Amino acid sequence: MDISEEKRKIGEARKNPQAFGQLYDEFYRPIFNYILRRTSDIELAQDLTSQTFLKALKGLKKFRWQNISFSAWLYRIATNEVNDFYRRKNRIIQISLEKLPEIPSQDSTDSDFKLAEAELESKKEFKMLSQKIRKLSLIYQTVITLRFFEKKKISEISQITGKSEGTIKSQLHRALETLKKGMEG
Amino acid sequence: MKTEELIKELENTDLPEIEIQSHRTSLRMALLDSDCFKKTGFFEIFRRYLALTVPALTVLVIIGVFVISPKLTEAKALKIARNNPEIKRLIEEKKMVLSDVKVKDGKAYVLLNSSKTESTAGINVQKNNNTSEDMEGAIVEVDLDKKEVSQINSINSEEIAPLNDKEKESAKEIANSEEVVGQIVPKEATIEKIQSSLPKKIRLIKRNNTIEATSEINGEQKAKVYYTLDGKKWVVKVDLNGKKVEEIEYSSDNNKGRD
Repeated sequence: MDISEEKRKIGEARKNPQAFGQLYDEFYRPIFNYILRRTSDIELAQDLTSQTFLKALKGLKKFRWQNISFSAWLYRIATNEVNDFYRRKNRIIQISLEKLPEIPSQDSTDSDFKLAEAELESKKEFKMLSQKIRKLSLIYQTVITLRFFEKKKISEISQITGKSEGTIKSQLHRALETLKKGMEG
Repeated sequence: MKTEELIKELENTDLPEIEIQSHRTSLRMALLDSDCFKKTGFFEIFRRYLALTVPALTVLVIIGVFVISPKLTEAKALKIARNNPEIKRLIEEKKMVLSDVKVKDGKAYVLLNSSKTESTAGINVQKNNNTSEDMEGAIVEVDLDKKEVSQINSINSEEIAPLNDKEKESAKEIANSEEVVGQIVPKEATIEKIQSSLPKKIRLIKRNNTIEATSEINGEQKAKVYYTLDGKKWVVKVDLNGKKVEEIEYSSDNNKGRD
């Protein structure tokens, strides 16, 4: 999506629920899967995805194109949500009922939920890698996931994290080194 | 393990690619239905308070149609009636007033009645140039389209508050026993007739598709005792409820007193 097209879509989405719905449709899947690859927990990924889109919706009016694309902005929100969660080191997700629109609770016996769990369980290699990655610092987890799982360019990761490309390269190098040691250990 | 090998492993890992449709759909619905899309502009406020504004506007329209508009019509009818020469004369000479208005089928009906108030000091004695004119009140019909008075119908007090024989006898006794009446009406004068008099407070009502005058005070009963002698007349007005004479009216050229 080029910048002018993105601007038009954001402008529409600010006032028109249907236009926001189109953006949501476009980004739901990548954001959900990014969070899932960061957490390896379907239920947690659902909660954090909900929070991410709610914050995006609330922040949409303040969103400005200041060297950051809408996609990068969404990933930044998602990244902050995941990192905040891990910082709190518990699973009490402080979702204010007042702030978050009521979302019907997910029944763990739902067939699509079961299928999703089965799909996640089948990714043995990913699960093993994910386990190792989650032992890294949050910034290392972020850059490795964005770079290798989400296939983001250094410039995009720079936009998402708000750090310079040089810093990202450096962090990525150190993250790989740390992960390598962890894999060997 | 070399870094390149780790990178290759990371890049080639078979990643979960999941979508939980129920979550996606319910989150979408919740977001699109959130307060963020509730507009707060003028029209939104108007829409939000539509439940209040519609009844308020309806009340205003009802007031306009059923209260203000009829009042304007009534005011117009009163003005037309007041400008009629005959009514002007009755107002000036007999001290009558236009006191009530009803509108029906493009016509207005204005009540013309006495403005005399009850005397608390005693009996009201007054000379009259024309005691034969016995109009106590009238319903004035105003043609609103032609903007003119089309009829002046005298109100028959007998229809509003008719007297029975007992009441007539009582009126006669009250009049004859009043000292002031004895001073004004000659002894030789005979009673010509006794009729009911219009109650003090009357108003117009719509009844049986017509406009009628009716007493405002239930049970108020008044009588007029007509004395005559040699072509001269005296009218004594009696309050049957209060058992007293209220007014004596006589022609200015009548002989004075019975003795």
